Amino acid sequence: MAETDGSGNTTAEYIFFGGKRVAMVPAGGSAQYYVEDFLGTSRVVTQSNGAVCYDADFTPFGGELPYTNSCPTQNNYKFEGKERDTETGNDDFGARYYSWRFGRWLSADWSAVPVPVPYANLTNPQTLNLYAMVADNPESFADLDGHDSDPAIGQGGTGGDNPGPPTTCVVTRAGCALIASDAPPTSEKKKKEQAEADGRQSASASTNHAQNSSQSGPMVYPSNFVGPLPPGAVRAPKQLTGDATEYYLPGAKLAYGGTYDSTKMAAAMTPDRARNGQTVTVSYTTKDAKGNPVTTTIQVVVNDTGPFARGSDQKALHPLRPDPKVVIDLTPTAMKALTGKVHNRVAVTVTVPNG
Amino acid sequence: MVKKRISAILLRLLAVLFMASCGVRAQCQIMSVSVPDLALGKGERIVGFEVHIRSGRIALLPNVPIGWNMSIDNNPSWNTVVKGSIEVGGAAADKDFLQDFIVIEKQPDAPSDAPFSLQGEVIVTSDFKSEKRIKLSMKDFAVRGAGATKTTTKPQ
Repeated sequence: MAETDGSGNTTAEYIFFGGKRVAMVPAGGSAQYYVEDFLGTSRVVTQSNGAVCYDADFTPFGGELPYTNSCPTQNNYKFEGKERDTETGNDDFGARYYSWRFGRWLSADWSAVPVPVPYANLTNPQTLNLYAMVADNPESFADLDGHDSDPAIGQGGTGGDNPGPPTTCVVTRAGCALIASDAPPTSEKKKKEQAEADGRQSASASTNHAQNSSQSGPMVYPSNFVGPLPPGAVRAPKQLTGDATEYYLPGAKLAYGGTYDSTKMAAAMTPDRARNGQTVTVSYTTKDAKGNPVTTTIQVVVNDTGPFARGSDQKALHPLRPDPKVVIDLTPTAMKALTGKVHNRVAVTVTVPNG
Repeated sequence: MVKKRISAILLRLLAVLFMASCGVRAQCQIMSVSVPDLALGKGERIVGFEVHIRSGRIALLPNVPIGWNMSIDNNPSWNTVVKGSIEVGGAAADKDFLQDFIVIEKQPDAPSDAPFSLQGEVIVTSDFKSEKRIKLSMKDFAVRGAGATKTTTKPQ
């Protein structure tokens, strides 16, 4: 991609690989290569001879702490790889400008389609703040396009963008200290000490991001990670909460083919939540006569899509998108196995296995 | 085939009943609406529709399939709208759904500057990820008198 001045003269060319900016070739100069961390932030720039000409740390919300800055051509692509305006210091994310000084967007999030709260997941209050950067979790997640994302579940169907990094990390001088199974061979305790020494708090590893399963296990990516996984890597199971309702469509042709069968342990879920053919676990907790919680768990196969969202006027939203309240529709057989009766609507947790 | 015949009989019965209630009104015209030649691609199914009627109102919806959400705005201006969409993928409809899918009443003494007309769109998909909107103009609808005759007329 070429960059030109007002007269149309090329000032620099940028080279992308796998959707990422990897090098800049200034007009009449030699190439400069970007080295990014897991958030996409340009932490190091090297010249074609391998010499480091730019080296910087970034605070969680994007403040730049340069140590070396001697590149022949100034690098303007900084926090999360987005262009930093040289006059205002704000970052251009596409849909909006971001101010690292405030740690906030300079304008409220917006949506091309009228919705009550753009790009919000109503089950995650952090996403209701239309000025918050990646739900105030910038150490774990990057923003792709300037629209808010829901890191907790990555609601692509509601327009959420790429949740960013493949793992929880703490940005240090030494790089991105992974809190994941194939993190650099330092103990978890040492990593915590390192993070504390840097005066930064690690993003919680107890969320549904990459989990530290074992020293020799596969690399676990967040369940909402978008894009192909590297060889041997797996996605973390995804846990979704919401209501389960029932659907009974005898004789209907299902969205993914086949015919509806009410006797099957089957379900409808939208593709952003579970794929066709996946077996998901549905848990329902109620109380027994003594008031003790009792959890019933069933497994169902996803063979249809839905339920779909409606606007406040109950009219369907198009294009079809997930119902924010109802996470799964169950066949009567599955509903009865879960709750003991049919024609029911209950709050459940749905666990979707590794993608 | 039997199903179609039963639905046709049912439609005529409903229309006759409606005509009985409509009989006191001058020039009450009950019409059945279809979209006979919808160009659906391979594997495409109907997941929503919207019909806007000028100088007319919705009198009946003879077939509301299970799994569909219908919305009718019978505005007293006689500029009326009916919308429908699915709740789950399995409820998506085939082309037959648009046969006699609305019964309308034309506005008696419609003003000359707002003649009776129909327009709308049908929303179809083959993969439930992307959608296609097929716009419908007056020529795409087939309107026939419900209950009175089988003659199908395509309005101008």
